[in-house]
Amino acid sequence: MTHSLHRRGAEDELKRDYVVIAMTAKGINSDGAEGKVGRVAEIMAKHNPLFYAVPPVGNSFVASLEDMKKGADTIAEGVYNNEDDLVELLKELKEADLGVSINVSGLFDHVFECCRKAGLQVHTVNTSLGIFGRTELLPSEPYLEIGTLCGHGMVSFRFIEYMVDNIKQDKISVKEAVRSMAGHCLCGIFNLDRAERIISKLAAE
Amino acid sequence: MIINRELCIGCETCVPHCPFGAISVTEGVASINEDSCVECRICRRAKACPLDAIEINELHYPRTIRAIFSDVFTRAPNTGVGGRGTEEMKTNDVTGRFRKDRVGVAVELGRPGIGTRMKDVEKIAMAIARYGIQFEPDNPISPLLQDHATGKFLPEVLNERVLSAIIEFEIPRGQLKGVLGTIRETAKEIDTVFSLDVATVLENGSIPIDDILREVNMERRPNGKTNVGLGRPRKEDI
Repeated sequence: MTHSLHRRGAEDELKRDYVVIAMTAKGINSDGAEGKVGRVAEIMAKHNPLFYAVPPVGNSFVASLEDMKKGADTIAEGVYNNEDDLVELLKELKEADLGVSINVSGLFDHVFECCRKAGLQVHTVNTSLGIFGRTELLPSEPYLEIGTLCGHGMVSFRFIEYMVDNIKQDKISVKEAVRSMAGHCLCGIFNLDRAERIISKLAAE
Repeated sequence: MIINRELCIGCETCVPHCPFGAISVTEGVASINEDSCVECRICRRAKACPLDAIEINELHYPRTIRAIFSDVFTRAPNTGVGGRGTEEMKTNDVTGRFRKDRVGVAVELGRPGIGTRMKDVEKIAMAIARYGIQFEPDNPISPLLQDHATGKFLPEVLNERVLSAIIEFEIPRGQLKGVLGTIRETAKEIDTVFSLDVATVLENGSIPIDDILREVNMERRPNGKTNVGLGRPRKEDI
């Protein structure tokens, strides 16, 4: 499960953050669907993703599209920073009619509007009700915003803090830090643009 | 995970990569605290060691569940899905798992970023089991349940620490108010955090749970996940 429905941030940030997840259903349309998932990845790659992946082959930092297509299994994922690309992606996925389930995480109102523009009827939603329990254990909001950009929690608060320290000490640039963090996101949904904006502010404090 | 002491030079490069602070360096050599390590393997996969001294060792039950719930690429035997997750609503257009007038609820303990012991997962499971719910069978938690009716876990897994674990179930929409209230009350008894979500099909283009959320003083965030209905064959009887 991607944790993408729990991404955090102000509306202005979330407007520039759309995660697309393609998945087949085990025992229903998964058998022999590897080629279709590979085709989804190919279409995703055409529409300017910030980052994308075909697990378990790898993300776009470490794997070529050709390798992803060859190794595709049940899932393909990517992240986009604008609605125009998202609409064009959805239109092409609709036209391709591959039968693979497609999900988009982002602001509901905006995603629904993008679906309307693409001629799609929204089917199901998964809504986040927030975080409960010992919330005092959590770091400040900017760290939560970056940490939740990885769907599996692989970009830890500890690592973000380490990256911020390194930037402050001029050991690495903001872009290098963001790339290091994104490298932890094996599913390719880490929004590098958002992370760059947030970590720049943290490093300037 | 283990450190190959022959290769390690104690450079400490690996230390910040661990989400749970399980790696430390003493007397010039790194070591991994077995209790803190959740076997997420990000240290290995992110190539945190310049000399490749971090190695994956063979795990034995019950420690194996740490990798199932923490490592993105370890697939749970009962689900075939990696990263402790499930298909949940991502394939609902095809599976019809969540139907009209019913909702899916997911409680992801340990997220974001804190981790959880299975004993805390059990607390939530036992609290909601009182509603007679059926836990999602295609979830890696299912084989850990000693008694599905009570939500009691196998005793040997209770102290295992994982990055997160997701309790999933579906209920009639009319039960949602009570279940959410119980979850919020039980949150006071656990030693970690959890993320809470509700999945539902749309009705007349709207998300049909807002009135219920208002009754329990909860609010959904403006963003979430949307299945855009491109899966085929489409489940017709939703």
